Amino acid sequence: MAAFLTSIIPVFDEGPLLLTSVTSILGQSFKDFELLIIADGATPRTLAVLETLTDPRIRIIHQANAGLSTARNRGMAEAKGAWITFLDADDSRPPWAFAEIARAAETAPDLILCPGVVREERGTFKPFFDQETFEAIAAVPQDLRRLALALQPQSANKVVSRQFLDRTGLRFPDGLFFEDLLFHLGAVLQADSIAVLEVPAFCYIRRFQRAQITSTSGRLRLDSIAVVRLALDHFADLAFAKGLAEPVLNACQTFLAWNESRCGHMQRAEFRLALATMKRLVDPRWQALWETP
Amino acid sequence: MKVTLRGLGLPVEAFAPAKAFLREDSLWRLRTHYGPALAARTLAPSGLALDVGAGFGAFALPFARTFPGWRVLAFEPDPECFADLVRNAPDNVLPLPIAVGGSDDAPEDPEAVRACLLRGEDPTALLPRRTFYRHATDHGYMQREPLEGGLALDCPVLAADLLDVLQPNLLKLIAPQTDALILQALAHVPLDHILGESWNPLRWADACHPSLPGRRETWVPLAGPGLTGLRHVPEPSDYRPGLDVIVPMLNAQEMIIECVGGVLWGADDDTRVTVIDRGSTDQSCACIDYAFAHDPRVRLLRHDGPTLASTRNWGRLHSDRSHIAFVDPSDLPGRLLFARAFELAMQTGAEIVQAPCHLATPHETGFHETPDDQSGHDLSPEAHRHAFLEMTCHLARPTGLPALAPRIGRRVYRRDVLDRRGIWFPEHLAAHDDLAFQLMTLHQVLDLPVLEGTSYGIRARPAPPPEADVQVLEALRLALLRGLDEGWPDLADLWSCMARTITQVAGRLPPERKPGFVTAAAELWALAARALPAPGAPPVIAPRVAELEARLADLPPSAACLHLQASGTWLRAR
Repeated sequence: MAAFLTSIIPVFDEGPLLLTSVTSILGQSFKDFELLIIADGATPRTLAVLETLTDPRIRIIHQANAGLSTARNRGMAEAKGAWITFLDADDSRPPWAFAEIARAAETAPDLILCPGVVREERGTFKPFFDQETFEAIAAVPQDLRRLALALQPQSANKVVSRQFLDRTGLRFPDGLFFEDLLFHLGAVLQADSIAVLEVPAFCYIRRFQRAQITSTSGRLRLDSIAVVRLALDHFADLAFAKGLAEPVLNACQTFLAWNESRCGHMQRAEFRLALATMKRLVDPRWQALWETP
Repeated sequence: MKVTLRGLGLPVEAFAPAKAFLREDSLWRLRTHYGPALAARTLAPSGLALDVGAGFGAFALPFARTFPGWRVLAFEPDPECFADLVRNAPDNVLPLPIAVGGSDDAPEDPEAVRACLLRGEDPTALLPRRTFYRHATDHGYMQREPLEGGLALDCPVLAADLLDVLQPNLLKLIAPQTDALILQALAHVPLDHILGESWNPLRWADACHPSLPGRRETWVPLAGPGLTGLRHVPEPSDYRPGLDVIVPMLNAQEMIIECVGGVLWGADDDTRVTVIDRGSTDQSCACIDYAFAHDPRVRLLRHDGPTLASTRNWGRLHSDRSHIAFVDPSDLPGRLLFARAFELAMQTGAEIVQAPCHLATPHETGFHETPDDQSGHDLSPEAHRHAFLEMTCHLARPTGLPALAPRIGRRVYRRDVLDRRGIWFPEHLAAHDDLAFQLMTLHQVLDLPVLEGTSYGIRARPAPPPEADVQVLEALRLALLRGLDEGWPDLADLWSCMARTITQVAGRLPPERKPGFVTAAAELWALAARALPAPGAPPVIAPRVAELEARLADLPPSAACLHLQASGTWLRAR
């Protein structure tokens, strides 16, 4: 019988650290789930850890290394649960996360959004970076969709229904890093109904000893421009029809500004050039909005 | 009144004291401490939690609701809070109107108390009673010593060392006067989780040392601005918690014993001094053998590397500790410096911690009190001084990088940060490798904790020979390239350091070396200024820089950057 919820975890070279996510999923108080691990060209030390996992709710799917987007897309294609979540291998979920998600799912939304916490490199805890936006949503629920577009495009903060995915065909952009933004915008724009949790449902863990894609200063940052272009072109009709073009563009501009600030000094010139080129090629409706002060 | 407790999943309604402080303080702690700490953890399906300082149940109630397989023993001596705790407690919470005390509070029949606790019953009737004083306005605070205007309360007290019979799996600790005692009492218990808040200096090793049983996943911040606190997450690591102090030694017989002795002062077995002999021809090695042969914290290795940088790196490669420091054998670490610096590192999780430093006088012998701090770090008037064990500390910005004399010896570094960011002493530099290291490391952090109450004494060292001194340009080039590559947002300090360094080295080079150095320095400056916004060049190179800038004016910044990467001109300034 299909599980209520599928948790998708791509793994590559995390080694023993992948047990952070796996242990937290297996420790959920809500038990009706499948844990789908996508071994994305996993390294031997990671494969060795996978071989120790014996819980019958775990399925491991192997593929050649193709990146987070393709791994998550593969997970969505293989998922059997009515609800689908994502978690990075070195992050975790609190023990109550799935129970809270299951409660929110009772109203049958297309999308469930979750606040989180972050554990910083020095070991301190704080609410995830978009906590203020969640508080604004709670204060002004009629602005939910507009505000939700401004949430961090973190894959762990959203749960999507199987029906929603089948209806929209929403996927992550294959081959690109900084992939979360497109999925986030697509989920928020296309969901007929959205539920929001009140308690944290994921923990984003920053570690000194782990290189994270989001801390790179090199040319990978250019992928963020490609992701924005894809999102703007793909969702232009919907965003303008729903009167949400401005918050969509704001989210993209925030995303691009953050990426530019994290580039090395020389890469910044390249980034600006690539961005200027993209602005000339994107759907003209966005160009006009971009120029508006 | 009733409140809603949120933060551990399902909301829980609870009776709370009417007094706002008692109520709001607990709700704040649930929101900022317990909730986030438990959000990052996975608990076993069942276990025993000790909630010391339970209040009205702001932790115990949501915890018991979220983890129904667990039992919670909730200790709360304040009668007002206890009354609400009793009203609120579900079946898996046992409220106990008991304070936790020390060895002076031993009961007449400890075994009877233990048996009662093991049966899950209230041992109040078997416990001695003591008078506590409740603060007149801060109603959550009680203490044994009389408080002016305070309310005397008679409470049963359980000696902390009786808690171990319970073998708890989780400890939640709000016990301002007995937290250290409780941690010591549970030192042999396989505790998996420790959380709460502390008001007193606690030692990391008492709660989280890997030799202690259980996972010991810990988050107990110090009350207040919260720079320090006990923290530990047991994750796979290439390193064991501890400090390795690398001391490259070459003919240092006059000073090495004092130096190593200073490092070791007050340090426990988690600190090790690795003395690396670089081919001494005097009695340096014999001194180490004589003074430290029976001290397991000291080891003597030998390395025949081409440069001091190479030896420092080699020492690091042969270290398995989580933290590392690099000390010159002529330096004089002050009283308790490395013992407390390592503790500060563990209690802040910081990438780098440092101590003040001073120029040691020729006859200074170490173990002195803190002289005036000449380290030039940025202590603003608004900087908050935090109590830290018997010392104090504050958070500083890594500004004011001094030219030359980089003073890296006074810093303790996290090993995982250095490794992850690929920061090493440049192997090929015969001098100024520590300058490159300092520039690269300090730009990795926004701030760093600074220990107060001790100081690192630096003895004046002779300048390198000129053929090595000119390599300062290579050190600066390497730092510049890293800054370009990593996108360092604030390069003002780097430019300032470059200007002062170039001026000082130019000023001490022999006449026959100076023109070549000035030319090479000017070229480095001009290329860097083409790639990045730059201040005016220092006078010693300014005319040459102006000439070069004119020649480079039509080239894009990327061309200058590429040349900086590709050229080795500055290894040997001609």
